[in-house]
Amino acid sequence: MGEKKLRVVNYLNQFFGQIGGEDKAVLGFMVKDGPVGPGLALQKALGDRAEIVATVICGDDYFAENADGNAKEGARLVAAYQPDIFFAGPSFAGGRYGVACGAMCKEVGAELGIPVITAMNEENPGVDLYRKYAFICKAPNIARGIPELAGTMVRLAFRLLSDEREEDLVAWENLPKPSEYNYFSRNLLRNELCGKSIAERAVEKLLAKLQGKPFESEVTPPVFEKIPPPLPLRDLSTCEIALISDGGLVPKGNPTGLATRSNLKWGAYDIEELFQAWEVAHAGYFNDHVLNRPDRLVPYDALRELVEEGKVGKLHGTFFSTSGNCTVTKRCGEIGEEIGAEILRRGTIAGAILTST
Amino acid sequence: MGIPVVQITAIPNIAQMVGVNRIVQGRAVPNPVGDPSLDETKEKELRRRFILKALGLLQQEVDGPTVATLDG
Amino acid sequence: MRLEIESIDIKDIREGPETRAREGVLSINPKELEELILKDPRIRSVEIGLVKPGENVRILNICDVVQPRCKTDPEDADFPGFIGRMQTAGSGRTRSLRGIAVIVSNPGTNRKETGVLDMCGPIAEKSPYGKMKNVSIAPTIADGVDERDFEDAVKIAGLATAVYLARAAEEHPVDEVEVFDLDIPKIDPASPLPRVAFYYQMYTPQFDYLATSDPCFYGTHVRNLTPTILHPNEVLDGGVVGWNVVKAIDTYSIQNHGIIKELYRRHGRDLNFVGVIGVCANTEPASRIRCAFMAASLVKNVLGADGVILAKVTGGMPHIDLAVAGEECEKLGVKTAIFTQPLTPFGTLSDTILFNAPCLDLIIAASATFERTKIPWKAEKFLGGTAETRIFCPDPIVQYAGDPVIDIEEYLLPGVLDCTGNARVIVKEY
Repeated sequence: MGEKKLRVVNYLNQFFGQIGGEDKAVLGFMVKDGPVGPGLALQKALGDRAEIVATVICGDDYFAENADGNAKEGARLVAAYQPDIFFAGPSFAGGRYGVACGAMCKEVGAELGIPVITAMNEENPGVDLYRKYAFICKAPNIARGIPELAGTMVRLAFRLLSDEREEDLVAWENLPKPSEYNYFSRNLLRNELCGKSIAERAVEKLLAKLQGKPFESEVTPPVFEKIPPPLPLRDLSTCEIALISDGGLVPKGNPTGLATRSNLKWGAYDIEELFQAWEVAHAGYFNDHVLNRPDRLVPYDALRELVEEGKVGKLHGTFFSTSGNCTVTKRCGEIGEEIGAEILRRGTIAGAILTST
Repeated sequence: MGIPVVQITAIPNIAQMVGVNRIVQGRAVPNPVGDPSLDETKEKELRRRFILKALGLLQQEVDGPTVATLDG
Repeated sequence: MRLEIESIDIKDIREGPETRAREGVLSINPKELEELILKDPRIRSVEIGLVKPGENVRILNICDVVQPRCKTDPEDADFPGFIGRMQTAGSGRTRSLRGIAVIVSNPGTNRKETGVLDMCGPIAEKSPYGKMKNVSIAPTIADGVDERDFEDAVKIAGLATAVYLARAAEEHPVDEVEVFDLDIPKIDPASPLPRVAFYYQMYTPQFDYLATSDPCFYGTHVRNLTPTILHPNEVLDGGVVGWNVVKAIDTYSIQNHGIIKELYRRHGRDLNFVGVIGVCANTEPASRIRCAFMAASLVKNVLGADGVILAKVTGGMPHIDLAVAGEECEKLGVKTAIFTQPLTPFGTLSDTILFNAPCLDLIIAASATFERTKIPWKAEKFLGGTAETRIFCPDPIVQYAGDPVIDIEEYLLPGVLDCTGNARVIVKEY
């Protein structure tokens, strides 16, 4: 097969890039031709199939000062070489270096859409920050075993570039198994084929539990942080109340494009206009009751009445809306924070009612 | 410290689990502050009761996740 | 109750002048089947197709899949309450054809979410029905018939077809007999084996189409069902059927209910299977709590169970009924194994849990039903629809059955995931 040689760029810090020690950590970006230091092990593993055409080097302190901005600059340098694969590090346990590798991978991955691979020890803070955006192979906490690590990283790169699908997934996807390629899971969940049926596992494990034998739950529930309750409102007749909902009520035409499932967005809509023309973007419940009378979800009529009677000071003119059907918990938290920040920014709202389906 | 929010939901268990501090138990999942089986007047009365209950909780000091129902 | 299922392996199907099974080959007279289906005045016409694995056919608008079965005694009722007179399902003898399924489509449906089955390509690879010889029926609605009424007609047509095909194997030698013999009152109270019950969530009304619940139990729906006790045979033998939509549940899976069959397999050996509690998910908190207490009491005080498996139907809200019921069971000293179905593809498994009572310490990751997959397969022939049939996707993605790649959620691929527990699937962190 006459395949073109793949082009690879490697990112290293000042130490592995053979510029110097900690004293050189303040230096900015520089580029060397070909592989350097650990890049030689990577090149060996790549064999004839690929070539490290350049090594981008940056001092750890310099990078850390502005990780996002420097990642952009570094990614530009990388992009100039039109690589098919990007390797960063390995950074082992080095915290600043790990963050730099992760940030570089994230930016290069987003810009170029190529496999971005690095390696870190589990204690490296870069793991939790960047595991979603890069393939982070597992590394020891000291700089040892580089040839083996290089082998793992290269194997993963070639796999990601291939047409192969992961046979054990129910979905049709090229997503290699974390255990097989020794990388930290990237906060994804997948249905995987299993030798035992769901029923077989359930009965087997229940029997173990009944017999007092050890059993392994397939899921462990999370622990949620306690939120200190805000102080109560004093005189409602002087308070401005805002309405929020996750039931997916949006203006007709769904201008913000909320998704009916796995939604990631929120919208702020003029409530009076909304109640003239509306629709529902939420596939997790039967919508008709709300479509026929949206006050069943967002109590506009009740609030207006209470304001007229003087029992509530004011109803805020904007309604904050999202669609909470099979959504990502973390993103929901972020949406809440964003809506909360917007409410506080407006400065007049004293309290809010959130209605949920 | 932030401003108080009260959540009206027909699944108060999830709200409690996640740590929401002020919760009112809603009517049903597809209509948390409504009831399509009632005539318009009765439904509006019901909705008003939900909102008054919710506003009441906003004026109440709480220690942690607290669920109020229309009957309680 | 004692039920014997006599299975006959069907190796091929073909059109013929007579509907009859001979030497493993089922010959079908499509005209006769059509006449049978058209007896229902709600049905104007019906498209019938015989399909085999490997044919590039895409079957659309699927609302159910049924295994051909019939009672061998003509006095007994098939699918009681649906097509047969009311009778308690689960005793006597039932003939069952293996290797063949009835794929039921409603091509004119206004529902957005409908099932898709390919007879080759990625879907056929993953679905057991893609490896069977199938009879596809797609009825169309007669003038002036109400949409929901027609859905009933389609369901019944599917069940009637299943019975019709099974009857055709009347004189055919039987390949395997499975015996489901469970006399619950006679289970020895002194037996050292743990007593295990099954909390069977049969339905959730949260997705109800046009505010009407789908009938799935002896001809009626189970919305607001007060927790009730069932003999497992009633589930296996036609007392319970699929909904009017495929949501990782269809009649075929229920006829072969994974959890019930597994509990039966272990009965008398590792455990005593003491019964099934049939429940429905609740949209209102008061009924959710009431049903949880009632179910737990039935499990503990009436069935005398030491352990219970709680399985759910597709959806987020159903998790909560399970969790509340599970907690009440644990409070009564009954040990639980509870199912969860992660609802999003992002996060860790822990992130997806909607409950966290410490007593619910055995959680089974029973497939992520809403997982999306691409199906890079260009279908050539279509049944139950056309190349222009819209395929559902929650994003504002517009896609059609004739597209070279479709993006679809796995619960719409019949047989790939299965709420009855047959699927050999687990959810892993990637």
